[in-house]
Amino acid sequence: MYDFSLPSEFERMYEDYFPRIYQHVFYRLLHKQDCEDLVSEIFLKVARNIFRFDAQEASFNTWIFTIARNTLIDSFRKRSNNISLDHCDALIGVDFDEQYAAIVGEDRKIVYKALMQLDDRSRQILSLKYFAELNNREISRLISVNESTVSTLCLRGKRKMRELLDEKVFYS
Amino acid sequence: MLNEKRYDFSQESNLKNRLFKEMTKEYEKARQQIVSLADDELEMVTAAGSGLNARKCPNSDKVCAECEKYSFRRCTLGYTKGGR
Repeated sequence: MYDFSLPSEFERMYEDYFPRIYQHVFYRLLHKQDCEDLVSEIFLKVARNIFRFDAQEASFNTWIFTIARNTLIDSFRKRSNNISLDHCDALIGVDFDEQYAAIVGEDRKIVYKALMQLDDRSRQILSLKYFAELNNREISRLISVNESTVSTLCLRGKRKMRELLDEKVFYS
Repeated sequence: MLNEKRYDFSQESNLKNRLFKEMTKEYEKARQQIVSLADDELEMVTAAGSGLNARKCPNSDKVCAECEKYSFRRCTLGYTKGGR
């Protein structure tokens, strides 16, 4: 819980959420520059609207990830007018080789390689699970998919990620 | 598994500090707006309180001048019917 009337609490929130929001967006876009543009947009919206946050209506976690989701949807809409909100291919036009080459950490290169092989829905569910820390019911409500499908896709995604990470196959 | 630091792509970003500076400006603007809004709201609450008192006057069937609670051209209970 944060007391946003104090600048130090606002900074604490940023320290807590910057990596989580960044990861969440990166998993969807797999593109560093696009991700950073969107992360900036999300946090600036958060800062502008921070005093509108009402803890009685939703948790801060739900609030900030709702802003992240809506900002992602807006960016997908800008990319194409013909995509549905959660069934869009966010990766159109991404040069994977270039993006992969720009990643410095070897462990992250492996994760990137693995993420490239997952479909958008699985990446979305994994990021909501790990970074938004939502449970299956919350994910189900958020993306309008029934809970058992969320559970199946999550297990399948985790299994696939584990296999790919265990293989430690480097992208060449 | 995926939330380990070594898998965190934000570690490679130099956006964090720059963005925080921009955010702080927006945060300060939002905070200033809240402070001025608080003053306006206070005035509204005061005005609403006066209006509420006027409606709730227990002697509203009487003209103020004939009311025992009315002396020296003012209501001793603080109702605001305006001497009607």
